[in-house]
Amino acid sequence: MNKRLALLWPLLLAVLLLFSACGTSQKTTLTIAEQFGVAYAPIQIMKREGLLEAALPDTQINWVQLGGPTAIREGMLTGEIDVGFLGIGPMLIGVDTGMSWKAFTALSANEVSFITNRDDIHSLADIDPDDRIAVISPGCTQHVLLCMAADQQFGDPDQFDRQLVSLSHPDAMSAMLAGGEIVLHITTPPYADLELQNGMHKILTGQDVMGGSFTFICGVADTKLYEENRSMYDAVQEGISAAMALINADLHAAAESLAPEYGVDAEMLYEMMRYDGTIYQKTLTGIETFAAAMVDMGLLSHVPTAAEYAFTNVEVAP
Amino acid sequence: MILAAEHLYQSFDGQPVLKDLSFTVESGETLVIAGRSGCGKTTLLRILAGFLPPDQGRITLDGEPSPRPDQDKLMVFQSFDQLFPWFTLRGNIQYALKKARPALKKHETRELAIGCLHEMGLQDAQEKYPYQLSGGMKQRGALARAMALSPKVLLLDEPFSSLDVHSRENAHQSLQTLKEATGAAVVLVTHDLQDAAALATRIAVLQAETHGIVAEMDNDSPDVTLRLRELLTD
Amino acid sequence: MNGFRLLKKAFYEKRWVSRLFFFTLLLIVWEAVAAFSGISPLLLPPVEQVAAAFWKGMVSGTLFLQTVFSLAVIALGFCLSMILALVLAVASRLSPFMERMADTLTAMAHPLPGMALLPLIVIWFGTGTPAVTIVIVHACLWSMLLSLLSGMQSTPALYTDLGRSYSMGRLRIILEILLPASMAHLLAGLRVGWARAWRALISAEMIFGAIGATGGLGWYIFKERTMMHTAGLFAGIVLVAVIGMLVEELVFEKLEKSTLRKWSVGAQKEKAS
Repeated sequence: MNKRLALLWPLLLAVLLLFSACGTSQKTTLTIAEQFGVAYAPIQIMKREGLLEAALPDTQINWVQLGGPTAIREGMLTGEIDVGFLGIGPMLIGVDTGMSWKAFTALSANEVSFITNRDDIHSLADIDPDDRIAVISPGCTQHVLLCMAADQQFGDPDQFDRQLVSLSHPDAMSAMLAGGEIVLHITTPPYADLELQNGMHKILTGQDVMGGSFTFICGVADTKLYEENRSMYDAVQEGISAAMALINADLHAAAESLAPEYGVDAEMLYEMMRYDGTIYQKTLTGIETFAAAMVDMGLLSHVPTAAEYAFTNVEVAP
Repeated sequence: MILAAEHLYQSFDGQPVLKDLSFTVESGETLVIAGRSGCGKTTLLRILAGFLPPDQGRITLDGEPSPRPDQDKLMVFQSFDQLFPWFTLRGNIQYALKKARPALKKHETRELAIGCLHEMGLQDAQEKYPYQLSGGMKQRGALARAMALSPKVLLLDEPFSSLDVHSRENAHQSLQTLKEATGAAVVLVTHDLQDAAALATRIAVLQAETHGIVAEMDNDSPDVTLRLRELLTD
Repeated sequence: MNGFRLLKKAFYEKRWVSRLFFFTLLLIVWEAVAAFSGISPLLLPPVEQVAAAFWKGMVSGTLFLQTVFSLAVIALGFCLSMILALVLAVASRLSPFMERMADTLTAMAHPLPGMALLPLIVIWFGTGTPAVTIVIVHACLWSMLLSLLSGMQSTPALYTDLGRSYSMGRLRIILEILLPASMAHLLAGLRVGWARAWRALISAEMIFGAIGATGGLGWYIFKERTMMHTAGLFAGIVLVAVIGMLVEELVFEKLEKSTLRKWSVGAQKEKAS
C-alpha cells in the first residue's frame, strides 16, 4: 500500500504542474516568426540589438525562422506563435477566412523579381506547359503576383497553376542553379540578386505587375495579443520602428553588420537594401489594389477595409 | 539394389560424431538404426539422404556414388509439418509427382495421388489442407507423398514417435503395405524399442561414446529385445 | 432482441461492420467536440462543413480526378516496388555477394526519410511522374524487401530439403517453395509498404506541385491548407483514410483470405469440435 502511495505523489505533482502551465494568464513568452530574405532585415537588427529583450525584461523572447507563411499561420492558430512576418497575400487570405489576426505594421516593400535560368525565355509567354515555376506556396504573395501577371497578359489568372512547385527560397535557388524543370523563380533579395549574379536574368518585376511600389511583407499579430498583452504588442511596434530607423539612418553600417547573416558581402547587401531593392517603412501601401486583384482571382471573398485588416494604430496609405 | 555407406566420418565444431561408419541396406530390408538421443542418428540419416556431405567417406547406390539429394532416396522427417501448407493433401502428392516426373500430365498425377491415398486409407481427406489433419494423418500423408515417387530407398527419421498407439499401429501398417508394394529399402532411425521390434528386419545400434555401430542383429534372432534394452537403456 | 444479436454477430465476424461502427462513432464525437468545445472552426471544422467541402471538390472541382491520379501513381510505384523486392530477394538468396550488396543498400536507404530526399529529387529528376514514382518506390521497397527476406529466412529448412530431393533448382525452390512459405511476412510487408507509399505520395505532392493535368490528392490537401480552407483540408485527409480502409478491405483482406486463412498459417479461429 505504501509503495503505491509513494508512486502517486510524483504523478500528482506532474499533473499539477501540467495544469498550472495551462492555466497561466500571465504571459511570459513571446514567440516571433519570420522567413528568409533581405525583407526581414529589421527583424535581424531587432534581434541583434536586443531591442525587445530590453523593452520586456521579464519576457522570454523566442525567434523562429520558417520557410513559408502557412506554418506561421498554423503556429498562430495553436497559439505557439504570437507575432509573424509574412507576405500581404497570406495576410489577406487569413483575414478573409477568419483568422483573428491583423497587420500591425508594414515591414518592407521589396522588388519582387521573376527570374529565369533559361536564355530563351524573355517573358511569361515563352514558358512551356512542361516548365515549372517555383513559389513558396499556393496563395503566397508571389503566387498572387504571378496570377495577376497572367491575367494581365493572357486574361487567365490560373494559367500557370499546374506548373507551380512549392519550395522555400533557398531550395528554389538551388533548383534554379542546378537547372532542370524549374525555369522561373519569383523571389526577392538576396536570392534574386544571387541568381542574377549567376548568369540568370529578370523578365518581370512585382512593380511592373502592380504598377508601382507596394508593401510586400507585413507584420501580423493576434488580436488577443493586442487586447490582453498590450505592453508586448507595443514593444514589438517600437522595436520595429527603432530597427528601421537604424537601417534608414546608416544603410552602410546596417549592411556591414548583417552581411554574415545573409551570406553575401557587405557591398552586395547594401545594394540589395537600397531603394530599388527594398524600402523599410511601417506604412502599409497598395493593400487594397492587391486585395482587389485577389478578389478577381477568387482568392478573397471581398476587398477588406483597413479596419478589417489592420489595427487602429497602424498607418495605411492607399 | 544396395545402398552402401562407406567409412563415414563426421564432426561438428571439432567434436567427432561418426567414426568410420560402414553398412549396407538392400531392397526389401528394413534396417532400423537404434540409439540413444544425441548419438548421431539424424546426422547419419541426413548424410545418407545427401543433405549433408560427410567429412570423409561416401554413399553409393548400386555401386554408383550418390552424394546429392535424389528422388531415389527420399526422407520422411520427424516434424509433423512437412506437408506444404498451401496444398491440399492430394495437392502435396501431385506436386511431388510433378516435380519428380515432369512428363506426367495433370490428370495423371491426380490419379496417381488418389491411388496412393487409397493405399494409405487417406482418400477421404484428400481435399483437406494440412492444418485440418491430425498428427497421425499428416505423418501418413508425408509417407504417402514419399512412396508415390517409388523411391529405391526410404529414409525415416523417428516418424512415429509422437503418435498415439492407435495412429502408430495404422502408420506401421501403412509402411508395411507400401514396402510390399514397391520393394523399397527402408532405413528407419528411432530410439523407440517398439518401433524397432515391430518394423525391423535388421537392427544396428549406434553408440555415442564410440561414434560407431556397436552391434548389428537380425530381428528374428531370439534375444533381440533383451539385447536392445541393454544397449539402449544403459 | 433478435436484431441486436444479429448486429453483434456481424460486428465481430465482419470487419467492415466494426470499422463502419467506429468510424461513425468518431464522426459523432468530432461533431460534438466541434460544436461544444469552443475550438475555432479554423482548427476543427464541424463535420457538415467538411462534407460540404468534399462535395464541392468532387462535383465542381477536380478532387475526383486528383484522387484517381494519386491512386494510379501509387499503384504504379507499389507494383514496381514489389517486382524490385522480389528480384532483390531472389538475388540475395542465390548469391552471397548480391546478399551483401542488397543488405548494405537496405541498411543505408531504409532509415532515410523520404522527406529529406525530396528537394534533392526535385533537383535531379524534376517533378514529373518519374520523380514521384522514385519517391514511392523508396518509401515501400525496403520494408517489402526486409519482410520477404525475413519470411524466406524463417521458412523451415525441411521445405528446402524436400525441394532438393525433388531435384529442384535453387531458383525454383525460391519461387515455388520459399515464396508461398513467406506469405505471412510478405503480406505484413505489403501492408506496411502501402501505408508508407501513401505517406510519401502525399508529402511529395505537397512539394512537387501539380503533376500531370491536375496533380493528386496530396496537392489538393496542400492547396486547401495554404488557402486556409481547413474544411477542405480535413475532407482530403478523411478521403485518404477512407481510401486506405477500402484498399485494406478489398485488396489485402481478400489476399489474406485466399492465402493465409485458407492454409491457416498463423492463428486460426478454431470452432470447438
